[in-house]
Parts: sequence; C-alpha cells; structure tokens
Amino acid sequence: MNRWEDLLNDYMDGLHVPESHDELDRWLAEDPDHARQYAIRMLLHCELLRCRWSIESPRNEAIHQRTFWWSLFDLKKARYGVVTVIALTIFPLLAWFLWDQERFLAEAPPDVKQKEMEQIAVEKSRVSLQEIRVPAGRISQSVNVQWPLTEQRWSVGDILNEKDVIHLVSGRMEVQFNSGALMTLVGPAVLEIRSAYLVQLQSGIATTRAENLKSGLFRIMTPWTEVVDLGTEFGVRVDPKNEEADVVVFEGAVGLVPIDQSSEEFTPSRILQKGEAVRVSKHGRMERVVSIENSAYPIGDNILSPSLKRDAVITRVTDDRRDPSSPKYYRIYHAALDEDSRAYVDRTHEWNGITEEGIPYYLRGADYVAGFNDDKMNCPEVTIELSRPAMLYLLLDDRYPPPDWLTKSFEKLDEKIGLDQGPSNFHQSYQTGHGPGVSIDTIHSIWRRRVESPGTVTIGALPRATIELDGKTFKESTSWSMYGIVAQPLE
Amino acid sequence: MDRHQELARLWTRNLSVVEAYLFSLWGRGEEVEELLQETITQIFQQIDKYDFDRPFLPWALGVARNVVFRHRRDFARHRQVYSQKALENLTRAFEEVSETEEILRRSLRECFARLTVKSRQICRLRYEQNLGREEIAKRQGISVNAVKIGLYRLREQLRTCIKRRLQSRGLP
Repeated sequence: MNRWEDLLNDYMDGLHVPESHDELDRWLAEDPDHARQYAIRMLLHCELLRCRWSIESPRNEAIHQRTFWWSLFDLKKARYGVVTVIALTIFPLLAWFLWDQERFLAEAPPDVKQKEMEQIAVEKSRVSLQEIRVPAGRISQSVNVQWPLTEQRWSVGDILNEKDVIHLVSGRMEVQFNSGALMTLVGPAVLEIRSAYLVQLQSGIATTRAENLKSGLFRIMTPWTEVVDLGTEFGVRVDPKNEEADVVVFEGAVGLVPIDQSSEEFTPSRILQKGEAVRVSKHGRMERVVSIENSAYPIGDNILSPSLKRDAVITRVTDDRRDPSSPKYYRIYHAALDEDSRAYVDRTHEWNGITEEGIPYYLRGADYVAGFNDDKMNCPEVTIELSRPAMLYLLLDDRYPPPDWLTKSFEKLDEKIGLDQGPSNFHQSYQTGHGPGVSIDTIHSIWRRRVESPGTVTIGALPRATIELDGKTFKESTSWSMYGIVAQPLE
Repeated sequence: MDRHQELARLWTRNLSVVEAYLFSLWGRGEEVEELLQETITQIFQQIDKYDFDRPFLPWALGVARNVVFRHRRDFARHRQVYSQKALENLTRAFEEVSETEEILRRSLRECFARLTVKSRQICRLRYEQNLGREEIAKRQGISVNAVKIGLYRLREQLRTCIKRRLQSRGLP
C-alpha cells in the first residue's frame, strides 16, 4: 500500500485528519488521472455502503434442509430412513475401496491431492450469483397480520430483497427500507419491492415517512400514477376494483406523475403540498379528496394503536370550496382528542389545556377534524356528517367576534381550550411544547350544539374579521386562528 | 415524457455518482446523507432553470457543489477545502466515470461473488454492519492493522475485477 492508497483508505474509513487533507489535495491537483482513480474508488465505496451487499441463503430452503436431516434422527418418524441412508452411503464406498484399493491409493500422490483439496476449498469459498440477493429493507413491526395460504408468510426481522412481493390479507406491517424510508402497509395489500428506493403498490394502503432518506428519493409506483417523494410523509391508497389511487400528503411535498398521459382526461403532473390530497383515475385525471380518516394511514407509533373502542361519530366532511387548484383535505381523527393533538393539516399547532388541569373532560377522546388554518383568510362553509346523535363542539379563537350563525345555534360554555402554535410564515420562531398549560399561544372559547339524530350539520363561514388599532380599522388579522370542530357521541 | 418524470428518471440514474461526489468533497458519511437530500430538493425546486437538452450530471454536480459551499463554515472548520485545481479535476473525473457507473454496479455483483470467505466476512462487517476498523478487529480477534490491510485488499480485489470487466468492454 503506497502513501496515497493509505490516505484514500483512511478517508473511506472515516479516519482522515486535516493534515493529510493537504496531501490529498496536492495529489488530486497534480494529475487528472489521480482524480479519476479517486472517483472510481469513491463510487465503489459508496455503492458498497448504499447497497449493503450481503449473501442470503433462501430462508425456506435452509429450514427445509434442516428439517429433513433432523428427521433422519427422529426414530419414531424415520427409523427406516436412517438405515437406508447409512446402507446406501457406506456399503458402495466400502465395496469400491476393497475392489480397487491399489489404484485408489496409487493415483493420488500427496502433493496432487493437496492441490486438489486447496482448489476445492477455494471453489467452495466462492458463491454463485443466485445466492447474492440485494437487500432492500427489513420488516420491523407487524400487527394482526394474515397471509394467503399460497404465498410467502413474513415475520418481524425478515429481510426483504429486491423482487420480493408481499401479499398481505389483513393487518398492518412496517417495513424499514435501507434507503431510510419507513413504510406501513395496511392489508389487504400487494407490494412489490423493486429496490430500497422504489416499490410498486398494486393494491392496499401504504403510508411512508421518507424525511431522512439516506440518499436520493423514494418512489411508489401505482398502476395509475407515480409518486415521487420530495422529503415528506405521505399516504397512498390503491383501489384496483375502482381503478383509482389516492395520494395524501401529511408533511413536506410529493411529485405526482400520471402513468397514462395519452388520455384526454389526464391531468399534467404536479407537486402536492402538505395538507393536499388527490384521487387519480386510471386515465390520469386528478380530483380533490375532501376528507380522510386518520386511522386509515398509520405510521410510526400509530401502527400499534388499539382498534377503536366505539364507532366513528364524524364520518365525512365536505365544503363549498370550488378552487380546483387547491386540493385541500380535512383529516378526521376518531376518538383521539387529547393533549398535544394536531390541530390543523397545514400547521403543527396543537390543542392543549390552558392550565395544568388539561383540556375539559368532555372533549377528551372525542372525534375531531383537523382543517386548514389558512382558511381563516377565506373561510368556506363546512358540512359535517354525523353517524349518530352527538354533541358538536366548535372551538373559536377568542379574538374573533362570534358570527350570528354561531350565537343562534350554539351555546357558549365557560371553559376554554388553548392552541400551542408551531412555526408558521408569520411566527417562524414559535415551537410547540409538551403537555397541558405549556407554551399556550392563543385561547379558544368552546361552543356546543346538541344534535339529536344522525345526519349532516352545516357550519357557516367566518366573516372577514376587522380589528381596530389606534383608532384605525383593519380588515382582518392574519395572526388569528381557524376554528376547530369536535364531536362526542350522546350517551 | 413529463418534466418531473424525466427529472426523477435522470436523478435516479445519476444519484450514485452525485452521492460519491458529495462524499469525496465532504467525507463524513452521516452528513453526506443530509447533503444529498438537500441536493435533490434543490434540483426539483430549480426544475424550471434546467435545460433538458443539456447533460444532467454536470448540472446536478454543480447544484451539489453549491450545497456543499453553503455549508462552508463547517467545511472550513474541518479544513475539507479543496484547491480550485483539485476541485476541477475531481468534478471532471466524476463526469467521466459516470459513463462507466452502470457497468461498475453490474460488475460489482459478479466480482463480489468471486471474493474469498475472509474478504466477504470483512466486507459484511464494514459495509453491512457499518463498523469501524477497531470494532472489526475486536470482533475478529485480530489487530487493527490487519483489518486495515484486509479492507485494502478487499477494495483492491473488487477494483481490479471491475477494471478487468470494464476493459473487456473497451472502457478505460
């Protein structure tokens, strides 16, 4: 190993020191061919790091082999098998040796035998290409999973290699990809692993968190659209029966590229931002998804959430928004309102009690809707679909003058709830705290309305608010917050 | 083909080269991942600036270089600053080797199969488990210097094998 090879190897093993960097720099500047040799070594090193080359024996084959050989020693099951194998192996060898022992001993001089044995040892140490499987990820969690009888069953800890296909009948399964992406698959689902960076979702729901990718970008192909991660958390639902795919963005942004661009209906590819969701048809047409159920897209800790203790109260949310360029969705959380609950889909703000006592008891465990905080600027009329009789609550920023439709049909309660604000364009330094009474930025009053039968309830738009400062009237305040919607079933 | 789709395709094809380029400029693996993520974000944000008639890799390497320069304060602190001439040679070298990258990757699979048991073992510890030299030495019960030589031999075996395959295809 010469000096520069020594330097390069130290560099690749993270042991380079600033003093040796100048030496490396001079060597690279000296000759373009040095830079080329360096580049090839770096490519090779990064490829080994990225793909994590390993050798995997097919798992089932190994289990099968182990079971077969152990069964020979199980006299109850295979006592005749033992006798047969011994007889078939030992007797012919013994007979051959006795018949032709002179030639057997004479034909193999010690040095030749030694060389042959060495050659065999070298050959044995090499592996066939079939044995090398490029790992793409690992199954990290599973909950209540069921598999088809005819397909492979997967367990936590199993390595997923390129070209593996997961057929999940029901339950939830989490995959940690070597690229850094984390995915929860909800059955029934079929997922084909193309690589650590690319999968094909043929059916089912996959929620992916890809914010800390080890390199590149993560992509999900569906039969009708390609979803390109741009550093984000997003959900994809593929419904082969209706030939459509939903794409929902929870954080960051994704690129959407329709597969069939020959159809007259197709919508050109677009970027979807946090809080936006579309449904893509087989012809590439994109339509807004108005509301989604939070539990449909589990990720991280949510994968282990117990099943709902009761049926959902809020089943659907719609509005009178007409802007096709803004596919905003409402996120419905079932039986979930608690401290630090996410309040909006376009902000990280959280609901909290205004003191250490926490949020009022009658709101705990309620269904609630996370809408758009930006709607405060241009508030739509929202319609809530309730599956059963319920107490409907509206959480209104105390700075808003209550509109007529609210005072007429809702009753104001004495208790309040707090909003702990995260960073936004207006308050970039804001950070959310943890627990009740911590980092509360705005106070919301609680209004309630008793709804005696299932059906829809329409909540009016908030009028453009005005504020007065120094005797002047301003049309609106962008620092105010949008209301929240909560529902508890009536006993 | 749609612009985003085309850009995603170009990025996927070239990301190994950009990653290796960032690694060669920055050195510390864990931070390279973040730089690479920032590079891809920049590339997609600047899609309107990219002329699809021009080669992608020089543009992508330029974006990656700018991302590194933006973190220059850290960069200078660790004295990982290359001279202008070294940087020029390095950038040109990565543009050139990109032509062989696909063959390199395919050859790696074949060359990996030809490694000895000992080399594969050390490869697994270094690259699959991401261990350092000292940790490998502890696990194998050998000296750190023996690990250093073992890693050097492993890389040389792979490089020589790949070089032979590239030459058989008439590539330098």
